[in-house]
Amino acid sequence: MGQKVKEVSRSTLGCPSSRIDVCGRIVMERVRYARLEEELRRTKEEKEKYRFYFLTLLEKMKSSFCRYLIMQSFENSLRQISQVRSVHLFEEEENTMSFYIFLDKENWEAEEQIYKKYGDLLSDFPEFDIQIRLLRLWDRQTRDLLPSGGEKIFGE
Amino acid sequence: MASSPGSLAHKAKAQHNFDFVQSLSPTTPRYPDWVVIGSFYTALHCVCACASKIGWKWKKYPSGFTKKISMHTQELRFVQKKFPNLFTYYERLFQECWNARYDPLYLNRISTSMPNDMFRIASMFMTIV
Repeated sequence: MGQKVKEVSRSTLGCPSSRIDVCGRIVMERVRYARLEEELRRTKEEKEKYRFYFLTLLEKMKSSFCRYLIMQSFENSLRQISQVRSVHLFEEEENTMSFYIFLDKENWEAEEQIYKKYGDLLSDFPEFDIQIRLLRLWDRQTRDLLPSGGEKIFGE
Repeated sequence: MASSPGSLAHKAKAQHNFDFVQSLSPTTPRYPDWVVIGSFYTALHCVCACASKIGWKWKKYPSGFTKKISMHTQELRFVQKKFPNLFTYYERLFQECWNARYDPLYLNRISTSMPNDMFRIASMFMTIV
């Protein structure tokens, strides 16, 4: 079955990626903090207050801007893993965002780190449909394996 | 909790897949890619059996509905919620299976231990059903 995929450009937001990264991290930290606060609060009144804050934050996150911030921040965190050669983000059919993550070869330690980060992302943002594709280059070029170009080797 | 018919069917399918992988001699396989693929589908049916047993409902969407959560993401969230220790293993199996199916270099480049590693992970999933 062919998939309609389009690569998500960094220029979508029209602002530098470093700034996106900082903003994305702030959003993620705020969400984590709000959740933690909500868990810790005891009184009903306080719960309501934090619930409102939390829901407002979630509403904001639904906006595509925040969505891309989170994606960008996750992408940057992947790039910090030294064995990761490149990362590409694709929007696939049915609203699924897929990160194509390239390693030179099999590397369980790096893969473990990626799965851990991915697991955190899924827990933090349950409303998003985010997937990863972990690919090994094995001396090939990234462009050869991307669904957007080159010889289409991969794809469902 | 009594097993539902759906749960039993998934369990039987998981066992069938597991037996198939075993028949491929995972320690010294002639078809290492199929060991990996069979291992993932063993785990998948174990997860579905558990979900069915507790009456977990997967979200299904009408055709053309744009804000869908794909089945794989739903499965991952289920594993993350019910079996957090198995999350990384499940995702690893999924990725290996995807590569085994589509990457033409997979057969020649994976480590010799990979098929048996995946089989061992599938064995772990067999214990949860």
